[in-house]
Amino acid sequence: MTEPKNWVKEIKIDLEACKGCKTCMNACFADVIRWNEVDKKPVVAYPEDCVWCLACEVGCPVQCIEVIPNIPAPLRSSY
Amino acid sequence: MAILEDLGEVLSTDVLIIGGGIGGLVTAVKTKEENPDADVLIVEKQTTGWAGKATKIGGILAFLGPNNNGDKFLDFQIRSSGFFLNDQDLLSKYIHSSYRAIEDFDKWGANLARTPDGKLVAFPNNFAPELSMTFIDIDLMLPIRAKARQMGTIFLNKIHVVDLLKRANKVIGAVGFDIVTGKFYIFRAKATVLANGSCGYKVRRFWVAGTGDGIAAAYRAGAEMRNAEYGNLYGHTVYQDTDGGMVGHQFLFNSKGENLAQKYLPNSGPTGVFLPVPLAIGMETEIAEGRGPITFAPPPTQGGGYPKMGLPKIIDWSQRMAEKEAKYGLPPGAQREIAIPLHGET
Repeated sequence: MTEPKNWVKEIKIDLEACKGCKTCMNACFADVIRWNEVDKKPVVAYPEDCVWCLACEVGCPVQCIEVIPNIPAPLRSSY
Repeated sequence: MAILEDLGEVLSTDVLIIGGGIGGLVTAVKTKEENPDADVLIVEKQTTGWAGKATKIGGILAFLGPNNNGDKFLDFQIRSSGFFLNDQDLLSKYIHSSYRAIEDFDKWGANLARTPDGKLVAFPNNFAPELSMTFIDIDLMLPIRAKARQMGTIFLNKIHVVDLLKRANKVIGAVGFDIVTGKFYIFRAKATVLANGSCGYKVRRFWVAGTGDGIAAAYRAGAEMRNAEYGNLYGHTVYQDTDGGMVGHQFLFNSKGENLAQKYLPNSGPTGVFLPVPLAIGMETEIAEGRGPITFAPPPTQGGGYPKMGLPKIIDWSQRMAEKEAKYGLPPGAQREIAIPLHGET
């Protein structure tokens, strides 16, 4: 089994294109994305919790977020 | 002696609903339908309307349709799935309420699959006899949230409830933390509903929202609990893409190429969605006796993607998912080795 690593390699956000609507943060069910109240932009705070469910990608109205998975991923197995 | 307000922000309500996923939202709407004047507060650790598993269900709903035979369905569940351990009255009530749930989703504005002439779609579900299936778009909670809000429900997001409050033998509320600021909250309620799901962080990809807090809090509060151990389920999960192969235990093979469902469940009819217990035990035997790893090899799907029944979000999502798997996953034809996670359901 490979060494434990995150399920996601990278979450890319084009902050120039971002409109600051917070949909990516709201759509995330795992608290990956937090908010920079000064710049009014998302912050990828906890990429280690991301499971590439793609809710943020589907939700983004300007398509400026891209999630890159890590495959294969470490899985908990009962045996 | 400390004053309660010195310990944290104290909020009072009539009905406290812990969890803003589909369970919490439906509870809020139903509570308000029964009692429009009740104060209803949903406290959610992420964002109500996006939270929990409902957006990750792949858009599939299973229910007892008007043409299905409830007694035959119950017979299958009790014999083949539950091994007579079910609470049969409760199961009967549950299954007979399932079609009403579909009607409620429709009434509240969720987008259900329809035929070109506008009829609700229902087709046989091959996981169990006498069960129907339909599709719902994965933004289903947004109109339900709007409905709950319109009826006067209050939502608090980014607050993680960690324990229940008791006085003598009665639950009188709960406590939790704002996950961004760290602020402590004390909720006082006449009735408290735990709607915060199961235990599955990093077990299956789409079920990570279930961190088991509600189950643990209920246990610590001394709740009588049942069926938790019978609700827990094994699945098979593919290492390479972490959730492919959620269903399809008919396509599991050992290192000798033997089909394990045929080996351990010969001549079996439908066995439900997840790993049947005899097959799970059989797979452990295969590994222990050196015939691992176990691989998942379903037949190639024709077409792929969801039937286009007016469900834009699920279609977009499934296309993206397929593209990611093609771009970043294993090459076609590679062996898809599985792991066996145990998911703690309630």
